[in-house]
Amino acid sequence: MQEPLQTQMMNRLWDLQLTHGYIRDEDVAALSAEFDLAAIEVEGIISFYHFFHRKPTGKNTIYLNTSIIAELKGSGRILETLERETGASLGSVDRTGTFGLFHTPCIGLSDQEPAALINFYPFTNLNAIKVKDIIQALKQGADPAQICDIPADNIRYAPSGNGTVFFREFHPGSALSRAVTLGPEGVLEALKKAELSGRGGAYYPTWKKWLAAREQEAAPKYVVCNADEGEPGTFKDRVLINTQSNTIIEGMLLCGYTIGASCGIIYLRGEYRWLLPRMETAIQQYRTAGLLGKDCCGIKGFDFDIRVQMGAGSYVCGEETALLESLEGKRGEPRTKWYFPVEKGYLQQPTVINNVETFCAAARILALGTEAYTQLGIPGSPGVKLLSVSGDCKLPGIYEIEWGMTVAELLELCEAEDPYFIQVSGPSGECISIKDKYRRISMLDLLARKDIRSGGSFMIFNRQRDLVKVLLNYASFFRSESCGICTPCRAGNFIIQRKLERLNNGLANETDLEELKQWGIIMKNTSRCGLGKTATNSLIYAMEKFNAYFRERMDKTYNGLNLKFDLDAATAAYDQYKI
Amino acid sequence: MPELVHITIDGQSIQAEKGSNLMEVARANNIFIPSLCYYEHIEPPLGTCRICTCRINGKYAPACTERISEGLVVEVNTPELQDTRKAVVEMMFAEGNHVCPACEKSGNCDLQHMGYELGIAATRFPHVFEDRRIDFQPRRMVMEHNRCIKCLRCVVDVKTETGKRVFNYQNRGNDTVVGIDYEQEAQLSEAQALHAMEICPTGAIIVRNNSLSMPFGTRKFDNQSVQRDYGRRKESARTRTPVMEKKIVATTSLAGCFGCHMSMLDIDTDLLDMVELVSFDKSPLTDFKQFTSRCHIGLIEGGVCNSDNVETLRLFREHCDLLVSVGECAVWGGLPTMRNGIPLGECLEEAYLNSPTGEPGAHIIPYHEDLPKILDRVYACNEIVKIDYHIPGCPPDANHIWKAVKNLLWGEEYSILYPEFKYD
Repeated sequence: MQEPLQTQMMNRLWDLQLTHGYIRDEDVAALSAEFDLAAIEVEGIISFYHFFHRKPTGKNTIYLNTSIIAELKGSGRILETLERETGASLGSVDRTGTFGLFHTPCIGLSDQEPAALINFYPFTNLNAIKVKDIIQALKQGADPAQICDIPADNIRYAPSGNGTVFFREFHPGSALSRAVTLGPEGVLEALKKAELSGRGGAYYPTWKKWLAAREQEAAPKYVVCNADEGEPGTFKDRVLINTQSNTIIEGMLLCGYTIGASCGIIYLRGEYRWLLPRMETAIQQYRTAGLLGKDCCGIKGFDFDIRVQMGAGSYVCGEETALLESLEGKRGEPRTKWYFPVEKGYLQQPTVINNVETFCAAARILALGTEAYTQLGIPGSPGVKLLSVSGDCKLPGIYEIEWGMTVAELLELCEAEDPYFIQVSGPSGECISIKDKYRRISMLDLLARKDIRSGGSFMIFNRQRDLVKVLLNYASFFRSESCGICTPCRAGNFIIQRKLERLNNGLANETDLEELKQWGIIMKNTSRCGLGKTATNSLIYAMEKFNAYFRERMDKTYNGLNLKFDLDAATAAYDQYKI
Repeated sequence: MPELVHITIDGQSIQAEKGSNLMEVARANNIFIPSLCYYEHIEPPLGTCRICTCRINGKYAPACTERISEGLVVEVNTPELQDTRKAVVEMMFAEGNHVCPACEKSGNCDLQHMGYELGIAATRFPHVFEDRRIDFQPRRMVMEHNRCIKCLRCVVDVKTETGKRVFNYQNRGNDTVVGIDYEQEAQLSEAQALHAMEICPTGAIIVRNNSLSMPFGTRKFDNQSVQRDYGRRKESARTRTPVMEKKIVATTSLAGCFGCHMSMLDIDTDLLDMVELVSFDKSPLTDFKQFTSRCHIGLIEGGVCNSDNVETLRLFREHCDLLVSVGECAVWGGLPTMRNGIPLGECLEEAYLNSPTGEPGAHIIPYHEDLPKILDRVYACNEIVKIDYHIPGCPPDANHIWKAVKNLLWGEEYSILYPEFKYD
């Protein structure tokens, strides 16, 4: 099936953004004519993605990370230095048009913060001196592509012996040839035995999803790899793309073979644009080897090809239906649950969307055999999981753990420094206390909340960190990343942020704390997609677990009648007119 | 022949067509589920406003995006769900700048109507007072972004002859607005433009020369609730046997217009009862400047816009057992909050320095130690002190005030009639 013209929208916008540094008025007019859309619709798409601009962004566009990890590793000082050195203030371009300076949420380099992207090339482990040197070089006309850092993979741990599943050598075609001997049903059976489930964090059984898509009669079907790893603190997909691009392709091929799809799309987040050549080279190698394209792998009638679609800076596009909208060249707004993607997904066709790690794991399971895979981990939760560990520890990086490891063991491995609370699965996940350190990490017991089921990240905070500030960072993240389509998420995140500011300023009382909790639950119950449903998770957990801490932050003078009100602050503006 | 299946809504067994929309089925069976974005002929349903959230087979989900299937169990009217839905509507009020008395759509506004139906006297959320612009540029329309609830109706439903959209979301997150395409807007016929205004659930889309055409009492949502039991719901929590002993009342008007005080006097012959039952302490009605005794109830009109208001309000809190916000301004700031999105300096300069009616040579912004200091924005009373009850309206209906006060002071049972509960 010919993909409709609008699916090219993102690529066109990227071209224009990269060529001119912004999207000009005449571009909007031209695009609306070309795509037969009202200009306002084109504007709507542009304004949804924060890497697309309608004003010049300078010859060198700098995006400094605002994630909580960046913040505690000193991004504030980096920002000061950047402003001083470039002459651009945050959110604008300097007078000469050489530098544009912007904020962006987590860029997937939490193990080497503070970090920034300059013209979408990574610069890691920044400090004031390094920043000075970089800006100096850029002023002299250096190309960011030439002077950028090559981010380390920081793979810190794998199960002992020959235990690694993800980071061993991989022979292209090995998983697929095994799949051919098993047949599609056999593949599903293997995945079922290996109990592979969605590694993006939802843990929906992969075989069920693939089976549902397989049973659909409509054609063509699509395989989509979700490489929009936007959850702050997570960077496992970055490392997988960098080191395991073959395995990803193989996993998608496997899915395509199983469900009978003909097209695979990798939705790569804009922040990982520097990984695009890596991914495209791997795809090309597969094509050259006859593993992609017509009759791929020598399987008669199995035509399958893969392309990469760049995202452009939007956290919500990690939500599968928002991702589909974005793939179709629209605003990345999550769809209602009127249809499931396996019924009507990309272009209203049956579509399987899985996380990068899920595809890798699927390929590995087939290549290694389920026996070898299920020997790892614990009963009910076999295998391994990649964790991105960052924050207050000596060894941030990727940990390939067997399911069943305890938090304490992990903290020891990464040499955590005086850990106090740990954010699991990013801001939308769970906030746990050091008292929970003997809990296991597994896929089990989610409801009993005995085990910890992680989407892939552990952010460690020591006793010096201010929990309310951390939560405020999350709140402002969700506020700006909400797509804006449903009320509870759009308005709720804003309101929660305001309330947390009250708490931070010592104005809150018991009622405020109670309300925060209730409002969090209301957002959870009424939001349209996972973003709004999970945005207040951390807050709710934190308030349960660190109750004493929150009480300490309350207004202690509250008598039940007079609320704390800073009259001096409220009249400061008027006092300027004192004669 | 459509297939019929059985579902249960709040324990009531209902037969419905398989695959049909839960919202429609509820409507057909006289079960009220509030909604704002739902619009029968838009498919798939928009699912943006979320105020039809119910529990469907135990899970929280909006009714409008649910297809009927055999054995569906739906909970609609549990206290928790009622509160949740109310909260989402309150969020809309808190997020936008909805000044009903100043709105052309007032009385015909779906959002306002939902507020009435759900009995929202005050929002639990602090109003965010974002400065949103009003777009006067379209040829035929005015886009009032302060009032938009981003329901998506106009985006999906209003198209030109050539099938192009006229409206579309812009930005994201809290900055989301519905932008209008001037060029496409010009292509719309008069009827299409009116249709856009019509389907807008609030007053965000206004077609020029087409507003304020209906007098009070004849507007769409003035008189009749869609819920059959609206008037029968009684405030019983505080109900006790009335003992009509004499009570002491204090009143004040802060940043208000005295309209609420006027309305208090509008209870006609009940005034005769009132003077028997009530004595006024500090109040503009008595002109007592100081409190002379402890009061049973304090009625506050107006929001808080200067340092004197803060002081007065605190004084009331100290001397009154119960404090009641009377009217929109006291409840959340009301009309005076129209300045909240504008920096104070700009307001003062506009009023005192650049005003065309200013006296020549009197170009000065008054500042004196005897003058109250103006606050950076207008605050609701419950941002300064704890407020026990809220009576909405601009002004509130006289009967509403009197009934509420009688209930609070003597525990007299009451029910507010639909036409008495208004925001304008």
